[in-house]
Amino acid sequence: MALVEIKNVTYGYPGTESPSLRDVDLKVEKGEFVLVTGPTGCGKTSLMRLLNGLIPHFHGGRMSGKVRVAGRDTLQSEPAELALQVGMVFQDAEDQLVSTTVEKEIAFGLENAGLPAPVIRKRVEEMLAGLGLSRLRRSFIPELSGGETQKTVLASVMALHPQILVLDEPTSQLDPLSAEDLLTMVRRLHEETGTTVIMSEHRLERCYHFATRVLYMEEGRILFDGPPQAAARWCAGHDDAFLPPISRIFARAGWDEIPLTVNRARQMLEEVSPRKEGSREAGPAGPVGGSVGGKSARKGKAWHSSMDGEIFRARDMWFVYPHGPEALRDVDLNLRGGTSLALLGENGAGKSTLLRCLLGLLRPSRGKAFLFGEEPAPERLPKLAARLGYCPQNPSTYFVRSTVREELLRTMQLRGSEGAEARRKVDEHLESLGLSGLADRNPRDLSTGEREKVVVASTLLSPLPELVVMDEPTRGLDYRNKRAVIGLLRDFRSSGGTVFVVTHDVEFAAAVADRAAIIGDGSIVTEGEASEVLGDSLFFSPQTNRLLGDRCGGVIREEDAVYILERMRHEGPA
Amino acid sequence: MREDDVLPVYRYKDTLIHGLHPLAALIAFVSMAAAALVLENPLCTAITGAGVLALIFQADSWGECRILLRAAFLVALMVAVINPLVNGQGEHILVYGPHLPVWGETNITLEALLYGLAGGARLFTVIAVFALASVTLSPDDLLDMLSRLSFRSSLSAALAVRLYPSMVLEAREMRDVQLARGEPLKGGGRWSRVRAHMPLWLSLFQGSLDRAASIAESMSARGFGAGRRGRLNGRHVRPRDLTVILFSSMLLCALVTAALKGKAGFPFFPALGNPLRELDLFSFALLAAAFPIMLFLCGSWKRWHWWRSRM
Repeated sequence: MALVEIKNVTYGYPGTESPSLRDVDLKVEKGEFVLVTGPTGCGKTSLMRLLNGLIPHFHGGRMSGKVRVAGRDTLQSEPAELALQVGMVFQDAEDQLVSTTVEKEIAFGLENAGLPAPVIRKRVEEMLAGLGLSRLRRSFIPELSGGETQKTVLASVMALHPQILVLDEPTSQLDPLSAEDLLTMVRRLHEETGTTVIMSEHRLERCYHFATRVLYMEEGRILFDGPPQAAARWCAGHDDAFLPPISRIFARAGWDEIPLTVNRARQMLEEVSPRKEGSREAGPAGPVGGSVGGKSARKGKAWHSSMDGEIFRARDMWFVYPHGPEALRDVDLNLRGGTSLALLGENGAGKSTLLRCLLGLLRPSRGKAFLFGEEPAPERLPKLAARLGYCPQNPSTYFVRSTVREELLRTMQLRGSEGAEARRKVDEHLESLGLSGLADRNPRDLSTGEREKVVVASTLLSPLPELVVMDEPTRGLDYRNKRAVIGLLRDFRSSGGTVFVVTHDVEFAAAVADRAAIIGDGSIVTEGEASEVLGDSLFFSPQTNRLLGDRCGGVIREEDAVYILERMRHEGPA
Repeated sequence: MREDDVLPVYRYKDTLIHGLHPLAALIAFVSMAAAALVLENPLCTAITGAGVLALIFQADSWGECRILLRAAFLVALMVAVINPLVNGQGEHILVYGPHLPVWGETNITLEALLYGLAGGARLFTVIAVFALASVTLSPDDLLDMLSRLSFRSSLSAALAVRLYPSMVLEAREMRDVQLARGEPLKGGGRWSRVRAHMPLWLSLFQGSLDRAASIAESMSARGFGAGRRGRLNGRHVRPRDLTVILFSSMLLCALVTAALKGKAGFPFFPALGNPLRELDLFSFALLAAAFPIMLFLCGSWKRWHWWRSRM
């Protein structure tokens, strides 16, 4: 008998008319690794909630059909009873923890299960050691990093030794390295303990290849169910947004085989066109080689010697937190009007501090920051409302009104436009972006992707600002939404706007930026043309460059890679 | 709250106070707060206040307590300033004020001034004890200990401690985002600032409700409410805990006795009494011994490994 058996389930949340799941049939055998993909709002989360009885017991609503998990009917068993069979990790780690220390958090589920003290102690120690959390045993949970917090959740769930581990976009709030770390951990748990894993995830490049099955959902239905290779081929013909980037560019270039990993893609290129030693053509962006190094190297650049048209500038800027280390050290950075700059770096490298100093929310300890030619300060920001658009890392912090329309009207008001004319412009803007359907909804009720799009829409309202500053705009976005945000920014750039984006997402940086800078340990370690900086890096490099970098330098955008692959396909084996 | 303030919440540190058994810590904190509240003698107040501040230093918790101590100081100062203005008792008049209808004389006396200062100092000490307790006493350990009495109330308290920093950080982030968006949150009159902040507070409240629902869902998924709960082995009671429990309990008994016998007060009016003559010797001796012993235990814990391993 299958470990999970879902028969003809249709489900709708209370207060909604259209069901979130429609006629879902699914069987999962012991030891499988099932990856669930599909656009935002397709029913992935509802499917996950079905597995441990949160639907319908916690959420209520209307449900028909049968769900059996580990031999138990979920309609007859409460989520608390199913907790020993099904462990669930949700999207936002921060909203799942109840204790103040890691050790106690791991013990929480075990205590709920009423296990004897020696068993609880043993399992807590096992999880602390197994997931590398021993040194954090007594750490205060709100002070853990995102990755550590999500690992703590995973440990507390795995401590119950569930037969099935369900993960609902577990990396959506994490930076790439923490995400990689967590997914490696999940893979290890699956391989070493034989735990059945059912996971929805949008960082497909990191998990597509090791799933044993891939499901594709749309509008509450499972449209495809099969092995990854077949799923890739099916998605290529249906919606290539739900393919890993490397697979997508091969699919778009019309190749018969769609590789799932960079390694396989390299082999395929070697078969078609073996690379000659030492040969490296100039790619669409020219030869490789960034401006790496200290201040003197950077100061030679034309954009540093000129003050004309500068939107912002950081000059010999330092920042030290009162109870912490130096967050910024001798930072020199500027941005000229009509260009776009991406700032990349690890967590804690100083990206957000630099951004806050440039906006005047923090005062540099030494050196100066200039925004539109003046030293920024919180009191001056209202005067800049019409010139500056800001998209925060967490879109929820942007929303303070009860509907999307009111939110946009407030932006118009802050930019000096009110009344019927403003209302008309807002409605037209929402219409042009395909967001009219969301106008009367509370922004907090929207999905992560929809929220991000609303923030960008609000920022890019007419009259357009001169500068758009974005802090991690793609965190939690699937590729389809990311593509929409990239489109909006490219339109803004083509109308002469200036963009400054702080991001971990190399693919996004490659798609929107002309220039890129990398910050490490509070200092700018390299900056230059995006194709040079990203093309010459091992880890701050998009998958396209990892594939083609040793053949032709500076290929960082998908469209360039597709063009090269199309050419190679037509030319055939050498 | 200033940007550089460290939030006054529990963080584990390798100090004796953080390592105390929750029962020992609880009794110690209750006895300190009781000493500040019950004993009116300025000498006792001075010893208690200085002792609590020294313990905060020994617990390496000055950073975490600073925000509460600052607030406590302001409140204490207010008490010290307002009391002599409204309390005209006392023989030694420092400033003659006008005679107000209904109110009467508005003289400022030395006794009322000292009474206000002593009251302010006692209030400051009580808040300092609360600050020390909130940053050194683990809510999880407290939950463990009190779970048999009232698990749900203890869990609510632990959740409040856990979520408080997240809410403060979210509030700061939201304020920064709204400032960057151009909301006039700074500058202007007080009323316009309040009006500008109002949507932000409502949104924060709504965010807290969303978070509460998410946590409830997560707790459900991890078996909360399935039936009888187990317990991770609690902390062992060690010699240091017994020492603290012994002295704190004795101090509590002495305070109760002094209060019942009417020896806990101090004559501020009509003329100031002599602090040395008015002392309740038993409770003063215990108080004077309890803090040095606690400070000795804390200091030796850090320096002498041999002693630490036996405590």
